[in-house]
Amino acid sequence: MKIKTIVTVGLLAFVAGSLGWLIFKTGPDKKTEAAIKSYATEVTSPSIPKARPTGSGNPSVSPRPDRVIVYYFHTTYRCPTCHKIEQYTKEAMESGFSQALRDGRVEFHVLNIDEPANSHFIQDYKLYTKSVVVVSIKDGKQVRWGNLAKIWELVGNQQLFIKYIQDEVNGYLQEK
Amino acid sequence: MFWLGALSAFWLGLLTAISPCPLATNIAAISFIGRKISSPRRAFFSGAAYTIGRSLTYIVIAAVLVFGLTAVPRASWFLQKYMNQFLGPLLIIVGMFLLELIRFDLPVFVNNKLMEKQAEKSGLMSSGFLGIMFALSFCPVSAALFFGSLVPLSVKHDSFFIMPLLYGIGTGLPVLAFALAIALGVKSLTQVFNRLGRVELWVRRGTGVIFILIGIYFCLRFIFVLF
Repeated sequence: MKIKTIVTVGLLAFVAGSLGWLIFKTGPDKKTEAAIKSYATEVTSPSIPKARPTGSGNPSVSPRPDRVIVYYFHTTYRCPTCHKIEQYTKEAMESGFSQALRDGRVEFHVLNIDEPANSHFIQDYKLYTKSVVVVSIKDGKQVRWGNLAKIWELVGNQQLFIKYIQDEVNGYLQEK
Repeated sequence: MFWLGALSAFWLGLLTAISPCPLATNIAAISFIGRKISSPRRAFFSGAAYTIGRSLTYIVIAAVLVFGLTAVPRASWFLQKYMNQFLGPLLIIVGMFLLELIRFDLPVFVNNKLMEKQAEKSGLMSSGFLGIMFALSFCPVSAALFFGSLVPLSVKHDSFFIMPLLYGIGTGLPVLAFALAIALGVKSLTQVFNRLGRVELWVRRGTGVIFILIGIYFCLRFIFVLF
């Protein structure tokens, strides 16, 4: 009987603590919400963003004006499938576009959209979850972009996934 | 063409159910529905109520999106972020009810038969409620498949009832099948030993423990973000 009481009190305390922490934590989150809302009205054409480059080479140094940018957007909270998507996308980029990545015709960026500086991407590219987005830049302007939504259906098959990414990126490259 | 779309909707639902990301909530749902081992019939109806709860949620979300009451990105991020945080404490409380650590004592002025019917009815209600809650807790995979594939599919076919309905059935069916198989299996096994009542008590307690453990997992992961 005593153990039962201890367990009950312990669990209720844990629930109360969790809810308390949640309310305490929601403070700074409101800023992000407000940022999302203000971007929804302000941003009509997304600017070319500064990004943290990953992968081989350093593509952000004196890039050519015409290029294709591939983004992988994630949040602070990561899941196993999301890690897989990032890894496969990276593989697809490095194995298919190593030369283009080096000479700056293609860029690959991994960005956390929970960081305030990146939160505008949610509205820019209408992101609803972790996503791979391809953007075509011509004469310094964004001319076309697409969200590769099929990644979630193909993530179970590495070969198909990599081929899908490479075909899509090639499609954007050949437009020029 | 419509049938192909309908089939895709159902298939997307199945993909959502078998992806590793909603595994924790699926385990909770299976143990909750399958715990009625004395009556597999009840387990079936309970599973059906759970599936209907899921479908209903998807239909409502699709309707809200279509009527433009909210934008897809905001709805998706909001549900992924806040529902999972809310789910942890909720699962712990439900688990505590199953373990009878906390309880509501109903007044005993109703006769036994009516009570039984009431219990069956509230069992179905709670399964339906569980379906709604779990459907609202989007994780990245289910958000991608629902907001990214199913909503566009519904728009394309101009079908905002059938498509989300089939998607919901797809997400609930594997859970229903597993729960029913477990209920049937455990029942036939325990009948041999003639200990149905006792086993059912332990199955219910096991379900309570599973709910509490998954609830703690959700709290640590989505509220305290420890991993």
